[in-house]
Amino acid sequence: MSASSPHEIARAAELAVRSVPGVAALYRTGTPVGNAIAAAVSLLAGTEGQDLVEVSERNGALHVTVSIGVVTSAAETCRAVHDRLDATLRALGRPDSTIHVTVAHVPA
Amino acid sequence: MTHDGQLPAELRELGLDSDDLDGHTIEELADYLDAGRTPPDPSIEQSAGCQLALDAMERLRTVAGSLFDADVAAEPEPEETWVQSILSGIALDARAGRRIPVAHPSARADLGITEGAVRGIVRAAEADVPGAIVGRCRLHGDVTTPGEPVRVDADLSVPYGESVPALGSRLRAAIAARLAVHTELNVAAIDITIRDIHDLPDLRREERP
Repeated sequence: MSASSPHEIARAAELAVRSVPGVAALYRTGTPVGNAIAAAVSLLAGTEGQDLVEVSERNGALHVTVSIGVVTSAAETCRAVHDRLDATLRALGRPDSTIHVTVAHVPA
Repeated sequence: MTHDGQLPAELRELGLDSDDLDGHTIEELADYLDAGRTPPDPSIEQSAGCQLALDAMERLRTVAGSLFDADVAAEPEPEETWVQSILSGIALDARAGRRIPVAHPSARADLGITEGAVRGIVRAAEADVPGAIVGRCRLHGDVTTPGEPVRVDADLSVPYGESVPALGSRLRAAIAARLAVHTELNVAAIDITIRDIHDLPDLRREERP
């Protein structure tokens, strides 16, 4: 089984990331200009707002990118998020995905 | 801080590049804080840079309190107050900066923590040293290569009457502990520079008959 669109993969990935203990938030990836363009595209397409998980295809490989805030060990939580995403993507029929996880904020 | 808890207007005009905060300015974030972060603004809440800046501004508000009023009253036309310099540091340090790697055995894993997040961790250590206010934070060395020695450099404002060496030691220990929990950095040194002493007694008032 494989997800039919990047948006569906992004939604499944977001749910997976949020289920990892220690993850406090997901943040937008990309630049302010890029995010503004993506938001405008979402608005025109009538989709539910910009995906916080970025999904892209490059040279036949799936790349999944997420930026997170954590309240537990940043390094350990980062690895846990990767492993949860890897399991999710395998279940979606994308076992060879490259997963980019960045901790962007550790709330005090 | 004014009596209603807001930042004085003259301390909000920092004119920083809005790209530093994902399209927002420090002044907008100050307004957002003043409004109690309601209604929630997704463009701010989903921005890591804004969250870093808001964390630091909230702590500054908690620690500084009436110091803002006293500072403005004592120096009605300051060239740059220490609070303004701290706010400048907060905004500049909210930038993501370099990406610091986090290890994982899979070759398809690309994991990291931003330099901005690490500066936020350093700044948050002030909570372990009551009265201390951390200003600019800098990471020196090649943070993008695992194992390379890194030096942490933090500016500090300390309260009058406290032992400066003791405060510096406590902050250094707090920073080291937090970095050990959250990162895999090889922290070779933590340098604390005292930039200011706040809450000084008003000697002019004491000299009056």
